[in-house]
Amino acid sequence: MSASFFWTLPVESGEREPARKRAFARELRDERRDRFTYYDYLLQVARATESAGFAGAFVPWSERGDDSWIVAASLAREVRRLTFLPELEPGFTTPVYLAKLSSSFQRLSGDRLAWKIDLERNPAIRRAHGDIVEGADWFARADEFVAAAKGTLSRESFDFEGRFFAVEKGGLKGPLAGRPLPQIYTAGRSEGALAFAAKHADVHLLEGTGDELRAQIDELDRAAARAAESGARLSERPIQRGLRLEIIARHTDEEARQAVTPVKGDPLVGDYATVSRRLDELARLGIDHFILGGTPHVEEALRIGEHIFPRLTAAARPAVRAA
Amino acid sequence: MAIDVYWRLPLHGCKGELGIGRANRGDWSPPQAGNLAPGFASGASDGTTFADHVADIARAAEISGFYGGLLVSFPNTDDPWTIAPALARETKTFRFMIAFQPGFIAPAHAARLSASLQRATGGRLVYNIISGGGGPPQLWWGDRVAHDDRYARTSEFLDVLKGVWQQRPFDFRGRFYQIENGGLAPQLAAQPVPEIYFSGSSDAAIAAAGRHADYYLSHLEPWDGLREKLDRVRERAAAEGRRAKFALRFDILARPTAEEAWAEVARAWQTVDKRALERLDAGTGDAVGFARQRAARPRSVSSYRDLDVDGHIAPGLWGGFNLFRGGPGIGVVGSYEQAAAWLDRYLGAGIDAFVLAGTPHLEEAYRVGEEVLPLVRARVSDRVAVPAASQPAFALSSI
Repeated sequence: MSASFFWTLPVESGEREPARKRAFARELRDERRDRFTYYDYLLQVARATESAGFAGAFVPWSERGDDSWIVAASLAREVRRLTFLPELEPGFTTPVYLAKLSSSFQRLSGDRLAWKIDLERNPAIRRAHGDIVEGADWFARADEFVAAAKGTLSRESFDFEGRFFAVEKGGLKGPLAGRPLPQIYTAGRSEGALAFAAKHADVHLLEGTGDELRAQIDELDRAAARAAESGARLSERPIQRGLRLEIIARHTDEEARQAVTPVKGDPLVGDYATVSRRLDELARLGIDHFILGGTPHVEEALRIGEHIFPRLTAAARPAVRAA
Repeated sequence: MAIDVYWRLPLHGCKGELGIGRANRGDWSPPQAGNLAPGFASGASDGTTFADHVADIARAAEISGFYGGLLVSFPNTDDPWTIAPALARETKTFRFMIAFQPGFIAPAHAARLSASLQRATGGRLVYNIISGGGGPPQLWWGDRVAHDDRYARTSEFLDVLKGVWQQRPFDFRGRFYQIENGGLAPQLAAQPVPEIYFSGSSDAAIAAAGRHADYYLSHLEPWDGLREKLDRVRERAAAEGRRAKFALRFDILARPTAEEAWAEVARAWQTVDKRALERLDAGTGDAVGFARQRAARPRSVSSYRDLDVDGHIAPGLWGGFNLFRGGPGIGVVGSYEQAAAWLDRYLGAGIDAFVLAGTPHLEEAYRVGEEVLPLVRARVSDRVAVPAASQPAFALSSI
């Protein structure tokens, strides 16, 4: 089986925000004015993502950025093939409302929506957005949230009575119903996050490489085994492993190292052949889904399409455009 | 003062002509020859979606002069918060008036969605704040809050939404919401808070409208009752130190001559059956607006002529549009000149904006935009002579 590759969209407008454009000398005729928005740039990123051969676009939720749902929905009709994976905060809408939003997204995009359910946001940021539930209650509510959203999407007659949500004679009807459920992505190493993932997730996202990654794989495997044993897992399919990874690849290792900036975290750095080999190794380690990122997002997406994807072995090559 | 005219975007499908029967535009009826969007070719869907058709309606309305469109929201519609961003690039100036119930989205999140959508559209977002009709649909949504509390929640929701948008840090502790150190990111906070069109007819609704409505949006009702309701909104707004503006929402069926327009009503009436007539009085919710509409109707309806409204004032309001769809019943029927004269009457009586609709939405957007709107004189002193049996009393009132 080949791996799937998603690209991360820059929701925080750190690059090419039109409001921060540099002024020209007065002598240069400048027609930009206020004609362009940051969403024009996001569209460029999405198009580059599709051209490069990525299967999808991950849209993170950030309190410093544009909203993931609006970004995803604004791009869905503008590209033909990408799956959109917006990161969603359970608790910021009702589950019925998420179902309603999602049904329309599936209808207008040809079923190209997936959900990244955010399980580990800083509680202070949640409180700033009105979500004051914490701890075990928070995970209990997230569990109800996903159950009620899925029920509303998939059943034309749906009742739900939980601690946090209740629905009477609910369920989307007619053409709003019957769309495939979005694939559920999760991330997080806390006990609550792993238990939630083992119950609900199609893909659980890990981070980093090397020993740290192996430790996370073990944690996830143990949580999945527990869920299988107790019957908690809802899906018949096993949970798949995903990996979020910043990529800094250049013609030479030296050029790549020069491109690293201190703020990048733990990126995969190297020449094209080395980075490709590392991705192959990760795929052999059992990573099925890669969510890559790199700045600036247009240039780096295209670079990966041109220099990395063709070098991957069949096992890791993107499912789309495998030639 | 600018007058804004909106057109309805039918997010629950549209029919090719007025009448009972399948919504063949949109996918609420089985795909078959004669359906539009999704198209049907060689026995299968051709890949177009209903959103493609909604985009066409939005473009038609924009091209023919409408300021924007109302994206309606109820259990069986596509959702405005998904459709509006998806259509952002399909039009240039068209405003997206998003109908939504505040109870279903946390206010700080709604502020984020809205400010992001302002950035995506270049500031073309408008709100239609609705607070729900109660009854089974409210429980369908998962909302058990009682009628008056829903308006209290709506009011608090808008306080919080404006608070996180306009203050940083913003702290709040209310009956329904609690915010700790809130506030939007700078590039989001720089966007304008959308204009608020506020709907609801009860005392609780009008209290909330007085506090928050930029425009109080009402369905069309018989004028005496409507005037009284608008007066109450005006008083409540004044008590808050504000001045509300008013918008009316109704269907408009206009043709070159009144005879042709009424012939269209008569044709649609041929499709009406007993079940449709019973549906006129259906509804178990707590919505005061619909109770007001019901009260305005004769008890027995045997002809479309029984649904004439305000006939003693001027001809051309018909109360049967809800035979053919959900929602309010009263709309305008007449020649292009008569239809424009109705708009002028309402403008003269103090209305500031309209949300119009007609079936089919695409062709009628062109018709109303091209044929009716150019005839509206809009408070010019030599307003068109009213082609009525008698002068409308309210047009001369001072409101």
